[in-house]
Amino acid sequence: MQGTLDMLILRTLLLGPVHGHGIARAIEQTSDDVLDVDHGSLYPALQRLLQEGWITAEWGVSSNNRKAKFYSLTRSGRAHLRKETSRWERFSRAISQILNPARQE
Amino acid sequence: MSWKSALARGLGFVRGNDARSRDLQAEIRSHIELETDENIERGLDPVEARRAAFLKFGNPQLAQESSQAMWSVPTLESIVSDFKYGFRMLKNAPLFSAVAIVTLAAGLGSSIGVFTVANAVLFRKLPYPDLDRIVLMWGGDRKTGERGQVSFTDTEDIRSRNRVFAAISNYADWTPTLSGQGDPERLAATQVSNGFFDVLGIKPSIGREFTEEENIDGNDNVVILSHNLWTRRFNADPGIIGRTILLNAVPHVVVGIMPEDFETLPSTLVQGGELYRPIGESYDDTQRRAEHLRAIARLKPGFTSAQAEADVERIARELESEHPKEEADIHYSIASLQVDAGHELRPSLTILGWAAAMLLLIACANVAGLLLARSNNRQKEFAMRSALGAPRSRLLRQAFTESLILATLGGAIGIAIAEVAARMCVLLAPKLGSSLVKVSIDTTSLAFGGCAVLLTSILFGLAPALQSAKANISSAIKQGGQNKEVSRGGQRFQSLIVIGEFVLALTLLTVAALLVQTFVSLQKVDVGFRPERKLLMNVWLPSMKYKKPEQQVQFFDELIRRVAHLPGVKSAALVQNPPLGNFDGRAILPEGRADIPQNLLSPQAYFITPDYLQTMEIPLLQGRGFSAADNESGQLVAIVSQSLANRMFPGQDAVGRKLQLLSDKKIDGKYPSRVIVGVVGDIRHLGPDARVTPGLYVPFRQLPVTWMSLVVDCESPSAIVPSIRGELRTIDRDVAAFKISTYEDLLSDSLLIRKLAMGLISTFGGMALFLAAVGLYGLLSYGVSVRMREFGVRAALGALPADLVKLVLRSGLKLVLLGGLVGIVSSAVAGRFAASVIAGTIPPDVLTITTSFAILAGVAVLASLIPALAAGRANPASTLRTE
Repeated sequence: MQGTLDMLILRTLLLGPVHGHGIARAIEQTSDDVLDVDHGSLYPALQRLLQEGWITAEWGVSSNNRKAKFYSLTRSGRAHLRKETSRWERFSRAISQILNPARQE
Repeated sequence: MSWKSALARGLGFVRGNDARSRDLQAEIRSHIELETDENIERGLDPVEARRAAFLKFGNPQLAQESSQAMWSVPTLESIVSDFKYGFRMLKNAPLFSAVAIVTLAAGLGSSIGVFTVANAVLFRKLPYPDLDRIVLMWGGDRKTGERGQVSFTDTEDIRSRNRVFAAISNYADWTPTLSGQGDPERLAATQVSNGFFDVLGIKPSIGREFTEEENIDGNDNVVILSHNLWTRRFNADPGIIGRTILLNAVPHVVVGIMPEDFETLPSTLVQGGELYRPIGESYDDTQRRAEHLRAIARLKPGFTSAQAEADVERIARELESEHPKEEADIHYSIASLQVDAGHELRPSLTILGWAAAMLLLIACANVAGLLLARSNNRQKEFAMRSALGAPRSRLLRQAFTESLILATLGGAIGIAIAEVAARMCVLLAPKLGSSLVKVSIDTTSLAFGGCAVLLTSILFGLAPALQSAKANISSAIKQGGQNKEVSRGGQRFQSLIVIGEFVLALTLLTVAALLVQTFVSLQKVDVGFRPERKLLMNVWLPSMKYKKPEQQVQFFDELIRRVAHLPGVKSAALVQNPPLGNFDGRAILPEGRADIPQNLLSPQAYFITPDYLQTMEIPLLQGRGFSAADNESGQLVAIVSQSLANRMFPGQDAVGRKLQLLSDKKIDGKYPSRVIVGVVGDIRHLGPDARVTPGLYVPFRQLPVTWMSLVVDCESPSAIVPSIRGELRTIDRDVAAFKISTYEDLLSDSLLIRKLAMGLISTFGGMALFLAAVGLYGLLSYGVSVRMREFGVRAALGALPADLVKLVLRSGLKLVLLGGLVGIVSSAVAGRFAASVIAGTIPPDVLTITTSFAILAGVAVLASLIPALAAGRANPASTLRTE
């Protein structure tokens, strides 16, 4: 789901500016390769987030001296992430409660 | 969005999407290189590393394209799909769509209509070259500031002394009778002095202008025809130049014909321009205050109205010092023709404009309310689309597209309404004593309509659109599609609007009811004569031909004799100043009542032929009517109406008493006495809504005049007109009949203003009621949709559907009651106001106000019923399940 991808990207950027390839790699790693996607499908999402004003982009140089575009979180992006995370958590808690009623006690 | 990213986006637009595409391409390339680097580090050979990197990335072309799709210039395709989707949504909710569209049509229609009229009257450029240099010069008094007409002599002085005008001319209305060929006809013409066509900057297309000599009295029997009159009456024959035509039975030489596209001055300034003739006055120091002309001038290039006014002021002061008596405090003002042309209509158009704007705003508020209620119901749909990846901007766009569709449909119907309204304006204007030449929907009003549609769709679509875009999946799914966050302030604001709408509706309904009641009662009023089967026709004798009273009497006697013998005519008579015409009071002195001051009694005077009373079926109460013996050689006699008799001789018999009519010729320095021979019933001379007018009847033969009205009592009044015209032609081809009408039409026209006011107020009242109902419906529906869960819980706790219905109805009725309370006060005030503006309107009474309120409450209950029933359907099971 695209909404989920948005959140994963925003979360990755919480730690600081990252370029597109880095974001793809980070998502692969943090989500245990569960949300494995084509790296290419990251770019529409990035453009959308730019459009919403949640992230900004700037050309820079990667650790191995390659030119790359670095993305960073804006203030409104941070706020959005916070809001979405709490909603997401509530939602996933609800789902897990439905799926695992026994664990509730 | 932060200002930085906004700036970056803006720059992106400036740089164009090409640059952005290249940038994205470079980024994708760099991504693949980074991946290749990593793969090489892992030990793959460079070729394999590159291949794996491409594999991992997927299709770069696809990535590039779908990324670009996110950029905010929407593709045509997506716009089309937005519209398609929007139409589908509106089709799925036909009631909602219909109500919203009709509401918007009412608001937009009235706005476009008023704009169209205003545009035609106030803003339309008159078709004269260098229009901004044409000015009107008004005379007036320096002290009072009132503006008025000017005299010929003063204008001539200004012509010779000014430094600012390229040309200046006088003009005045003229209504000659054209005869000689075909039926005689009264024309709406203009008399002009030297330079009139120079001022307008348009010359005759055939022939020539008037020469200076032709402007002098005696040489002035020349005319220039309008293209319309030339084609209509003279078959567009160019040979007419140099020939003579008869105007008021005087030969006039045709010297020119105006171009086809020439338009005479606006109808607020002249009555018409079917032909032009010189004014034919001469410079005369004793006639400086003969201010019966208007003046128009063309500024020299480079001069402004203000400079012209200063220059004319200088001349006025010169004139004042030369002729201190005649020219005391004379003042001239200069106004641009373009601005001044719509001067008279400006205030009423301003009021109409504000009214229309208010109506449009109310309509917007209503539709916003409706949309809010609906968007609340669609929360789930929007949340789903958002979850499926629709960006917020796309949701906003979708919501606006739907608003735009509504507004456009409403606007289209509105334009149709406006066109009908504009046509009605044109139709009615002449009857109301003013005229609008051409008013119809044109490109300017279409453009205005387009802007209004756009603006309104933003105005009423904003709040609902923002709410739709706020949609988010978790809360939407959790709450079963209901948004709990209701803006309290918004609700209260909307309630206020609804209350206001009810106040307005009640007020207008009450006033409309009062006007209707008044109108119905006026239909039954006895005007004092029988209007049925009566024809009225004005006959004007050319005074040059009928100088002597004997000639006039002879003509009219012959006319009556011939008309009375036409088949189907019961009787025919002549009268000057027929009822429902002008008021013409003549001072009288009753004999033996020296205590009554002169001029106190000035009854409406009717100069009649003997059969008049019988033809009009005015009842004779006492004494006798006139006979053929009451002529110039007989005794001077008069008949008075009941109320005049009572005023002159209260409690006494009027027949046999005497009075002096101050219009009679003095004999030996004294007014002769007239013996009162009869008393007749009173009539309402000014119409059924006016009071009875004391009347005095005098035999026409004892006081002849050159213009009379023919009254005919016959089976089919309109069918007999051609035969009467035929008789007129047989007697004298130079005499025109005009203002021909049946008395029933005249009577109904005399109530035209009332009818119009009644129609307008009733329409507005109905519209206000409809808007109020829509507003209430929208507000309650929204409330219900927000509180659906609450209702479910109530139902679960034992509330019956009827209780829930009552709950909603009560909240609706609360608003209606509040509006009603205020409305009762305001309608009482408005009713009184209406009675003061339109005399004779019955004052507001309890029954009328109560009835209006009952109608209002009924409509309100109906409007509340749909949302109330929806509340009654609240299902505890489904509510609890979604909890």
